[in-house]
Amino acid sequence: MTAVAPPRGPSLLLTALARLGRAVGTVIASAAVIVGLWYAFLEVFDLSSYVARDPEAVYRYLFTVPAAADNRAEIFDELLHTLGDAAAGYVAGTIAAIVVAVLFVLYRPIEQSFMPIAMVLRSVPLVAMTPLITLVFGRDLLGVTVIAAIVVFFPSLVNLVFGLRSTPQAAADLVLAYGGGPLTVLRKVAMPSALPALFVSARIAVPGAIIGALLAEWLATGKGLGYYMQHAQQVSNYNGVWAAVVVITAVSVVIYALVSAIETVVLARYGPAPARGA
Amino acid sequence: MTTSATPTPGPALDTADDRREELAAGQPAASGPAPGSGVSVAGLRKEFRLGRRSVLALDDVNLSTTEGSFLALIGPSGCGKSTVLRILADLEAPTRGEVLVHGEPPSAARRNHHLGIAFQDSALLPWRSVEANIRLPLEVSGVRPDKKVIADLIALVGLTGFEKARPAQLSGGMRQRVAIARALVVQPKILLLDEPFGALDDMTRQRLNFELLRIWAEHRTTTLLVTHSIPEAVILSDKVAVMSPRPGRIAAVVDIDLPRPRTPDMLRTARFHELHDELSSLLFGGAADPGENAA
Repeated sequence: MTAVAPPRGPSLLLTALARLGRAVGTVIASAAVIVGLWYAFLEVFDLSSYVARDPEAVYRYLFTVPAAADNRAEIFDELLHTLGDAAAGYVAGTIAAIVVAVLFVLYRPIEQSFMPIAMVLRSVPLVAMTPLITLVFGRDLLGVTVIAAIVVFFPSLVNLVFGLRSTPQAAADLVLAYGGGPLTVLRKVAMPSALPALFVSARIAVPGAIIGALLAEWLATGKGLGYYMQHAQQVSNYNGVWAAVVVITAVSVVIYALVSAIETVVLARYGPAPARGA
Repeated sequence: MTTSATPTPGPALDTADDRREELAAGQPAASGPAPGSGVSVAGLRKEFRLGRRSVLALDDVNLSTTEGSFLALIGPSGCGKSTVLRILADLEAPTRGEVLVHGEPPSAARRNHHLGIAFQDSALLPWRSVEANIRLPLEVSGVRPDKKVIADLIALVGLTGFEKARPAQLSGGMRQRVAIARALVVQPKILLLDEPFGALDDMTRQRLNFELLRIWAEHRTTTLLVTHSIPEAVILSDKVAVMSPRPGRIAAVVDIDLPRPRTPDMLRTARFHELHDELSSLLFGGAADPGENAA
């Protein structure tokens, strides 16, 4: 009867903060490494400084040149647009993945007939599919959402099906013995068991949604940071291209750290493997 | 063959009489429950399909207990004792045979929330507190949870103060206590226990055996316990059914005539050891006593 006193309250917040602090530390360390590699890369390959700009040039473009404030404002506006597109894509893709994963788990034959089709579709390059998708769904938010959602959908689907299948059998039997059906098992046992899988997907899918949104903007909509990069390249504004890449990369990394922190809090509360306790 | 698996009338009546006196204090006593009023299994056969082959897990299993009695099912591993329990819980369908729980088929008992069940794996949901885990069967069966009932059950299994604790913060023995409380929360007509203490160390196991006796004495729920521990079967049960493997059959049914309430002292009595030895020889001796041999 070794009883552990139930810890409550602040420890959870501390865990989350510690996790976030570690994440920030990691981000700073990786930023230093990336800047170092960036310089090394330019040096080793002796690239033309007209196209290949260094971190200093990006810094000047964003902070010291006379037009810096305008440059920042422009990139920031386009960034917000891109993040909006990515968020719509992430939400749509994740909801679709949850619905399909639940159907797969409830009705095995559906999985057997549709999973191979899904995997074949997944192998078609998105760049090749984009013109078709914009023809069907248009060049505005709906089209972008569909493209970003496709990037999110497949890894999330595979993860969620696995997560839902890893339901503890004894717990499922228990719910059945008390008169529950497959839907009750899903709601009470399988869905909460699949929460970690949802977060594993999020770590892959959130950056994926951003890439999908950039691609759609680049190829289809003519808005957002994706289009900004294309346009900057066309007018030989290479400082602008590099600055946009740096900004979107930094934002992706920050979002990734945020997802990890949220994951810590949620899984400590509801997860099958609490961070605390023995 | 079928009748020899049911008890010989003599000793069964004696123990039933003892029990009725005790019952009067607890639940309203049925006026002499008939054999088969608790669990009734007749000619049960179960085949499992493994690819093209089919494996005979149970063949002609017959069991019959009275309402409010405690039956242990004992046998070597792989003899199908858990399968019998899973069929009674409507988690597996019998290939042939009739199975009744308090006169209703398991599917009806399951739908009407008459079953309470606990496994060797406590099967607690790790994201739920002790309280919320005990509440789960009520949520599943759509009954409004009564805070008082749950608090009483937590007290009954000796976990007051741990209502908000998560399973990960509890020891193995405490988790099984939660599992027992959860099995009782729907006020089941039958309690199905599948090696609930099988993963615990001997000391914890023995303590929980007597805890279970105390809890059972308060509710007098018809109980089927699957176990591979002879002492556990003897100290808890009114009757012990010994199973033989491949295919699973009831080899013998032994009446346990130790008086109730059972106490730890009884573990040292001559009668306890006689019963223990009798069951050992049935389990390990190969040939069962011809008088009680059902196979």
